Amino acid sequence: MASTTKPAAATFDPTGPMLMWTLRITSVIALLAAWEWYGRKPESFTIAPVSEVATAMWDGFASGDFGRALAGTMLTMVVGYVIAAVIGVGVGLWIGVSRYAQNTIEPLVHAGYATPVSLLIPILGIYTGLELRGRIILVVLWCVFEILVNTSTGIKEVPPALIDVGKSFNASKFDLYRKVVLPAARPYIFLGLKIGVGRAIRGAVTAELLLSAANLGRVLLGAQSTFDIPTLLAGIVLTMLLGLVLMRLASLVERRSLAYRTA
Amino acid sequence: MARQTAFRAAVPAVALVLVAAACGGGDDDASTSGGDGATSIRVANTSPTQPGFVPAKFGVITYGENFGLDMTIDDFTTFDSHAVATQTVLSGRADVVAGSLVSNLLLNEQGQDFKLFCPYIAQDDFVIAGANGIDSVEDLFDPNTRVALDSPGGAGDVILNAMLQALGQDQTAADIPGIQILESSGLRTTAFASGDVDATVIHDYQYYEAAEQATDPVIIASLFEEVPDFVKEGHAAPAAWLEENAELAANYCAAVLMGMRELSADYDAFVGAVEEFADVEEMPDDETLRALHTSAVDYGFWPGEDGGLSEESITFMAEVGVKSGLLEEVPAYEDVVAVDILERALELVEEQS
Repeated sequence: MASTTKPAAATFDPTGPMLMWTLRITSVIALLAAWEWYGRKPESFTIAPVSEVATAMWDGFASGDFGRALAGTMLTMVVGYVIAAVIGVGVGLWIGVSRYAQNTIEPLVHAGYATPVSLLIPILGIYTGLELRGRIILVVLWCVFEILVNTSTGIKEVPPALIDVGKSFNASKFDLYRKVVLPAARPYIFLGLKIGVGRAIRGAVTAELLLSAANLGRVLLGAQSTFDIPTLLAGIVLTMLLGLVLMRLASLVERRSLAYRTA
Repeated sequence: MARQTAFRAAVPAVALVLVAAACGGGDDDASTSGGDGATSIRVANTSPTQPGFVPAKFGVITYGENFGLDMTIDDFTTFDSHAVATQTVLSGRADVVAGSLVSNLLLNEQGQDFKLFCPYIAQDDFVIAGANGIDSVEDLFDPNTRVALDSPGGAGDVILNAMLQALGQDQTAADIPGIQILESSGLRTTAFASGDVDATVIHDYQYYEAAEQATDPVIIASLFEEVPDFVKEGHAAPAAWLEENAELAANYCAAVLMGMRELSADYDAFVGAVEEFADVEEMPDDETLRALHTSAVDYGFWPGEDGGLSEESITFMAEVGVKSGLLEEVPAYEDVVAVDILERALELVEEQS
């Protein structure tokens, strides 16, 4: 008697990951091919072919220029980010729990949040210098408000019922904040810290372009003024890759830190 | 669901490919000037119009009609980069680039067949300023001297190299050990005034502003006194476009030259032109404008009489570019300057005068 069951699934599953990966890879190849094609057109001056950009990237790393630039930008970014995180979370907590801070500090924070940081550059130049210190302060200004606003919002958004439960267990004020308020506000705090990473990268590169040119900013400016378009684009791609990697890392840290919610 | 996700992943890339294809599809319909019977040129400026740069716009708007031009201020577009202005011309959205002469030579060396056909501004009021005991060009090369300059190939860098060459120095800006890259002359002035740097290249009016705060300030050298052959900026266009539009280009240049002559002769007209055409947030005071005008007249900032793009000056500028490491070799004069168009413009001006 012939079997009525269908044969096992064919080798190709149209809804499986293979199709997805095929499309992803094809898309990237199509994009690179289009870039190469457009870059080779005679009237394309500011878009160099991707093959030349890749060569410039290789040369940049082989000569050590890109490695040094990347390290310098990372240093500016990390130091500025850590300072911003400490200030942002600390002051954000204070605003979240204190009526006094909400009435005095918070309006200033909102004003600072809405102000384009680039406007401060001429003033920063005078008071902080144009070298590493000035660049770090620019990074701090670039990301501190994001962290601060998210932290204070997180604290304010803790459901009152949670606090009531804590109180019903006779929790001290310290324990109430440590064991109830802070854990409940963690998603907001980590969101602020994650967004802050992206802003810190932008702040670091902007500072390197607009204050004393250094690191990746110096690479970009030098390539632009000498029409070295492949190196300019390689520098831009490198900055984008740096952003991509650091944002992925920040997301990973965020997921790990908030894993208790899905456990 | 996975298929949906895959398609979603593909959409942005496909969209980008389509956008790139659209961008590469030419821009024939965007060009409304040039060609037979054309009366206007679209000019891409590579930087905002500073007070010293106003004769070109002033000449075209004021005298353009005398040379058959029908141009308005909207025919001038200001960019902040020579590369972007050049791309605009290559994409057919502008006809002419007004910008750094050395950058134009560099473009030419990189295979872009651009030719200079008209002056824009020959000289500038840049000076090498020193403070904190730095008072000679030799001091710039001391490892302890902090020198602020813009990127290699930038205006300040080219100007410093030209001055070093004119002063008989074998070294260039690239050899200065204590260099700090500050792109804007405003930022360099701030750094100089606050003592963050010991020497820099800035406009002379910026020097006098900073000198009030700086310690032992001194002008070490000034461009217009030390480098009479310097040509800062010029008008350039693709050679093919110039060939097709030779008379139009000559008419445009004639109007520019007329503007230069007029403003050289009339200080009040210069003040009016700065008010109307300069991209400045605040009008400079009379003393500053008068000093600029005097320097411009005395040192030939606006070469309205002879066009300024002589073989001697172009060769000098190319040599500065070579010595700075920007250019590989000095190009043949006729390969980078459309002499016939400049000469025709001078003829047209003489006919009007």
